[in-house]
Amino acid sequence: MQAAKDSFYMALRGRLAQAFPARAIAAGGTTRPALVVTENDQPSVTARQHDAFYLQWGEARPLRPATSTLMAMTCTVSYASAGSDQNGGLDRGRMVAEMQSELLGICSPAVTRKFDYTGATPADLSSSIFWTSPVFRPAKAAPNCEAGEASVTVYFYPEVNQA
Amino acid sequence: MSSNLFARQSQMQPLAVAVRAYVAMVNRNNETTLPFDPSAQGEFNLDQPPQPFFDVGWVENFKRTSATKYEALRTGSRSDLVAQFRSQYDAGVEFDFPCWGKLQMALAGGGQQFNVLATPITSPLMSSGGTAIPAVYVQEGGSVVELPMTADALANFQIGDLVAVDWDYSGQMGYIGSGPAGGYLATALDGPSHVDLIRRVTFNVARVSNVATTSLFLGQSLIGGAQPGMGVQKVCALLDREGDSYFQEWAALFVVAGSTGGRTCFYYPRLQAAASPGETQREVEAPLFANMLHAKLRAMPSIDPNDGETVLCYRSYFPAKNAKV
Repeated sequence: MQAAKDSFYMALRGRLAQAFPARAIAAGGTTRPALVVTENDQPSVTARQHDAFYLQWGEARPLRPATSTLMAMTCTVSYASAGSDQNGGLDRGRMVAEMQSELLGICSPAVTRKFDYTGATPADLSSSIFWTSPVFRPAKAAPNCEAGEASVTVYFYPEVNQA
Repeated sequence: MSSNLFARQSQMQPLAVAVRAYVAMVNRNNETTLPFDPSAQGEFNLDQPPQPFFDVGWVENFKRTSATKYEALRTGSRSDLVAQFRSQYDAGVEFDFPCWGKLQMALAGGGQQFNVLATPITSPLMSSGGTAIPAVYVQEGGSVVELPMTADALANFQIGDLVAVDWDYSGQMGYIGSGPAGGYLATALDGPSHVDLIRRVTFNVARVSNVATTSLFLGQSLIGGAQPGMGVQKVCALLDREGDSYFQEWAALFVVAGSTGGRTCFYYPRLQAAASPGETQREVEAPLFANMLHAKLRAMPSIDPNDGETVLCYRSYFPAKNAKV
């Protein structure tokens, strides 16, 4: 299950860095793609910043336990923006829409190889994970901000001995 | 047996969540197979089927059917019932394979199951595969998982390749293919121009797991074995056709393994396709759907040597350990 989570994150992070290099955050003295997994990062990073994507994993469930080991796991991607200073924050809605476009972009193609990232070198686990298109909805925002959430269902085979 | 009367009763209900399927090859020259013997093989580990069965995975929508006619013999002015008899014995089984593979496609498709051989870019385009890259040949000392070859030959393969391993076609007639028959030729074809024919239909197919300095290693055992002189060619895809005249024939075993009760086994000594290739689509959760291979099979007759009866299917039930019988 961890391999599926890590592979999804690494796929989106790589695509974000390549397609939208300006979408970055400063953390720990370095700049990195603005995609944070809340269960993995330091509190200083997981404290929500504007103009960044935050991934939170939800329930995981088997889909057809009788005949298949396929599982589905929900991932919620949160984001918010206060707009730009030069526009006095009036473009916050447009900034959120831009982030939604970026998220749609990095979620496609909706498939990636599954790797085990626990070792020094990622190990190819010989299968893929795949996911649904993001479903967007508005989220509660701080004053003078616009926020949104997207749900993505990630499918994977746990590939552990379930005999 | 348990002294708890209620437990003895509850264990009589063979509740289950799925049906597991296994197939075994039929010797097409005499239409026989090694039987499934419930006494010796019945309560096997589902992941380790007894010889000669191959695991083809869980199946869905498993349904047995029978069209055997039950008829009455009557006599007299009142047409009184004297006896019953059965006629036009006919039975079958229908189900869906969630998993696709060589054996699953063969059983569900029913006709010739093609290995689409890799071709050079110069090959003419053909619907079941063009003129293939020439075979390389197995050397002495091989096994079902190791194919010794020359260094030149090994250079043709990479880890992960699918390969077909079988003899060159040389003009013979009858059933062809090592292991389970892959096809039947009523008339001989020209050998030199059909040299890859057997490898196009053979079930002797596996995936390359390692390319060593003197051998190709396979991730699965070749079900028809490997012998020096057999040709090896890369396979790109598996293919079947609507409109084929050949009938696959397999023995099949279906196991309903009870979660709370006993085990039920259905053994068909001979099954042939009763419908052309098709699929069943089942929604997993929108928009995802499973595209399952649909199998509709007809049971062919075989003789039970215990009493000489002609039968189509055997059903055996293994009561749970504490169940009332």
